[in-house]
This record gives sequence, C-alpha cells and structure tokens, in this order.
Amino acid sequence: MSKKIKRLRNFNAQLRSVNEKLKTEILHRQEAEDNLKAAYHRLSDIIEFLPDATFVIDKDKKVIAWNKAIEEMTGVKKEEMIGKGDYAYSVPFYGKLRPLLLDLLTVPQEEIEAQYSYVKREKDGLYAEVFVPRIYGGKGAFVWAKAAPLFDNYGQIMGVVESIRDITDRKEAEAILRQDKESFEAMNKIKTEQLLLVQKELTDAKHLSEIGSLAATVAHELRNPLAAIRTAAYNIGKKSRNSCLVSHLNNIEKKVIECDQTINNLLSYSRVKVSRFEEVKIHAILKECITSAQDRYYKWKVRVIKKCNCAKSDNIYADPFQMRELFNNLLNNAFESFPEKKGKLVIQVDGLGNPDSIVISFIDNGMGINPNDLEKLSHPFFTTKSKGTGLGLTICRQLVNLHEGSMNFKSEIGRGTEVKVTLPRERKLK
Amino acid sequence: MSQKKIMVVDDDKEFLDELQETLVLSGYEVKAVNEAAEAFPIATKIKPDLILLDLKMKGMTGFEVANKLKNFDNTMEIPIIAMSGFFTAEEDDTLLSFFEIHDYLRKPFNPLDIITKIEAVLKENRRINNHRLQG
Repeated sequence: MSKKIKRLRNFNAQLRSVNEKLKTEILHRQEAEDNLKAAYHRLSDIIEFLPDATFVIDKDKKVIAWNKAIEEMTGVKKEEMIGKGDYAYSVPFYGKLRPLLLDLLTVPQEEIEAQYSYVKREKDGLYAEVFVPRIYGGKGAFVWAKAAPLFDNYGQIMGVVESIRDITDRKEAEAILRQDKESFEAMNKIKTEQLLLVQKELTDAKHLSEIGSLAATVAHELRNPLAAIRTAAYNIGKKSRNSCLVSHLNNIEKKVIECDQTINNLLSYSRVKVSRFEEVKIHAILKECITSAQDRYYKWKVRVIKKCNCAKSDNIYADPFQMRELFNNLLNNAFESFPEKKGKLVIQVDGLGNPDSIVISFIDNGMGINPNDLEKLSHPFFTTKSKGTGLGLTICRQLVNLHEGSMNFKSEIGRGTEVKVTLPRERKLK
Repeated sequence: MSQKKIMVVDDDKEFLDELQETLVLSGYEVKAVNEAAEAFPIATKIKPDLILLDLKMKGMTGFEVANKLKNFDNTMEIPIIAMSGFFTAEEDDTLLSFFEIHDYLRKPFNPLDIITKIEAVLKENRRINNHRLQG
C-alpha cells in the first residue's frame, strides 16, 4: 500500500512539474505572441505613415498593407483594398487589371522594359519610372516606383512591398530644363549668327566711314580742278576755232567725265543711303539709261536688244535715282565685258505671271566671269578692269538690298554673263 | 537787249578765270570775285543780273553769302545759281530752296549747261518782273 502511495505521490509531483513547465511555456509563448503582435503593429504603423505611397502583398498576391499616402494617391481606402487579389490593386493606377512592378520581380528585364519608360534592377529590388494615368482623380502623374521582396526567417519570399513616389514636378522641371536648353542653344545659334553678321557689318561700316570722310573731301578737292580743266578745254575750243584740236579737246572732256564717274562711285558707295520710294515707270528709266549708255559707248559696235514681257505701264515702287544708278552700273559692266568693243546685249524685263515682282535681266555675250571671281563680285574694291574703283557691283548689291530685291549672276568664260535683278513691285512695310 | 551782268564767286582762281572767259565768250559782262567775303559788298555796288556762287569756299560758305544777299532789299531780287563739287542736287533741294537758290550745277559741269541754266533763270526772272510791272 505504502509503495503504491509513494508511486502515486511521485507521479503527482512529476505531473505538477510538467504542469509548471507547461505554464511557463504558455507564458513565454504568450509573451512572444504579444511581442510579435507589437512588432507587426509597429511595422504596420511604419508602413501606414511612410511619406511614399506604399502597399504590400503576400505570397498569394493579396493586399496586406495599403498606406495613407497610397489612399491619397489613388483615392481608394485601405478597407476596400486589404485582402484583394487578382491584380485588383492595379485598377486604381491603370483602370484595368495588369501586373504592377511588384509582380515583375522574377520576370525577365526585356518584358519589363516594354512597360516602363525607365527600369533598373538592383540586388534589393526593381526601380522604374512610368506615367500612371488614373491616379490623383484621373489627372495622372509621372511616378518613380520601387518593388522589393519580403523574406521570412527561413529566407522564403513571404510577400512584396512597392513604394511609389510622384515625380511629376521633377519631370516637368526636367522638361523645362531640356526645353530651355534646346531653346537656349537655338537662341545662342541665332545670336552667334547675328553677332557674326553685325561684326561683318561693323567691319564694313568702319571701312565705309573711313572711305566716306576721305571720299567727301577728295570729291570736292578733285571736282574743283576738274571743273577748271573742263572749262579751260571748252574755252580753248571756242577761241582757237582749230579743227585739229577738236579730238584732243574731246579726249580731255572724256577723261574728265571718267574721273567724275569714279568720284561718284566712291561717294555713292560710302554715303549712307536712304531710299525715297515712289511709283516709278521702270521701263522709262531703263530706256533712258540704255540710251545714255549707248551715247557713252557710241564708238562700240554693240547690238542692244530690248525685250519686254510685261505691260509698259507696269510701275513699281522704287527710288528713281537709285534705279538709275543701278542700271547705269550694270550697263557699264555689260559694255565693258566686250574686250573687242563689239557684241550683243539683251535687256529683258519680265513681269508677266508674277504679281509680286519684276525681273530685269542683262545678258551679254562678252568675255564672261571666271568662276572663282563670281563670289567676289560684290566685294568692295574687287575689279578685273585696269581702271575702275571696284565699287560698281557693291553699290548695285546695296541698292538692290535697299529695295528688298535680289541680284543673281550666271556666267561662263568666253560665252557671256547674265545678271538677273528681281525687284518687288510693292514696298513691303516693316 | 542790253548785255547781262553776271557775278561769279569762287575761291578757285583758275576755275574762276576759265569760267569768266567762257561767259565773256558767250557775250556776258562778267565780274569775277575770288573772296567769299567780298561777294556781298561787290553785289551791292554793281547790282548784277545773276550770281554764280560756289558753295564751299574758304572762310565763308556759299550758303552764308546767299543768306546775306537774300536779307537785304537791294540784293534780295538777284537770282543765284549755286555750283559745288561737294553736294549732289538730290541731297540739297531743301537747303537750296531754303536759301532761295534758283538752280544748281555740280562741278565739273559742261560749260554749255551753265549757259543754258543762266538763260533759263534770266528768262524766268524777266517773266516775273513783267508780271509785277503789269500787276
């Protein structure tokens, strides 16, 4: 009996001990569970108040966290989203069911790139930039997103977290910067071109102002003695009544006129020009200039053919003095192009079929212009003649520019030259 | 018709001599004046029918001479033709009309042109005077 009791007591003690152990174990477990709960709450709180829109899915792709920031971004409350699967979380972003960045962690890079404008894979997750059309009440925004896997204690994936940040402001700033850079570059290019042009004009102007003051002085100083020489020659002719002297006196007269022409060219090149526009009978002026050129070159055997493809009453707005100067210079050049002092010169006016402008062509069959010289034609002081200032075509170019017209040359050595002057009929208002 | 009296004012002596000769050969009575400053007192004294006036002279410009002539009763009616190598006619229309200069010739002009101009101005002046006498 006592033996039995002893065994029972012993067993009871063992049971109590086991019970104690169990109690302690339960306490530990409860404590651990509390700790776990606290940790989970802390984590939830952290996610909840993260400044970036963040959500988490478990390994069954069901939403287990949906923070305040993502509620604001999508307008969808946490309560509506927790527990949802089957890509339901993509609807607030894209308006349809589709994988998001966090679904693509294991997908090959090329497939992801097709869906995101920028994507980068790092060892802790995926980064991407994309435009999301449905967020902010349908306004849409450029976002930067990061998806990273969550692991359990055993290293198994237990879910994925994705954070999304609105980068619209940054994108816009970038766009503005890019645009600014482009427009700055374009502006810079234009400014540089303008600067070069101004620099060239300045150089030309400096050239001009030096020539200008010199020319004005020289003009007066030369024209006075020329006047005396011309008058003296006239008086000799009158008084001697000797026919032997006539040709010599004519030569004096001719050379005085040549000198005067040179002075005129210098002056006209250097003078600051202002056009006085009026309605002019361009045919009449041209005809007058042709007649006076034929008088100047009366000994030359040059056949002048005038062609007119427009109404004689075709008037244009131009400065009549400048038109005369232009035609005189071009006619002089045409005549000087005949080294044998004979040839054919066609002067053609084309106005039909063009309501805006009139084209005047001077076509000679003279010696032609060397291709290398063609582009130098309008450079001041460029000349191929033994006499001449080299200013004639420079002046022509200036005059045509003042009339907002254009002047083009076509030439072939030994075959002749065609100068085409295009002048607008009306004065363009600036 | 009595011989017309032309006064020529220019500071270039040789040109003045030649022009005087040209005008004499064409039948005018000529008074050549080499100093701008003398132009006004001589004009007052000899009362020419017409004055040929150089515009750019030493000491006093032709415009100053013209201004003085046009400001005095006994010289204001004398027509003036300007001559200069300095200006072009298109540029100086305003200046010329301001100083009541009748016409203009740019040096080196053809001597025949100056005679044509002198005759034209004298004829016009005669017409105005006749008109005045009749009126």
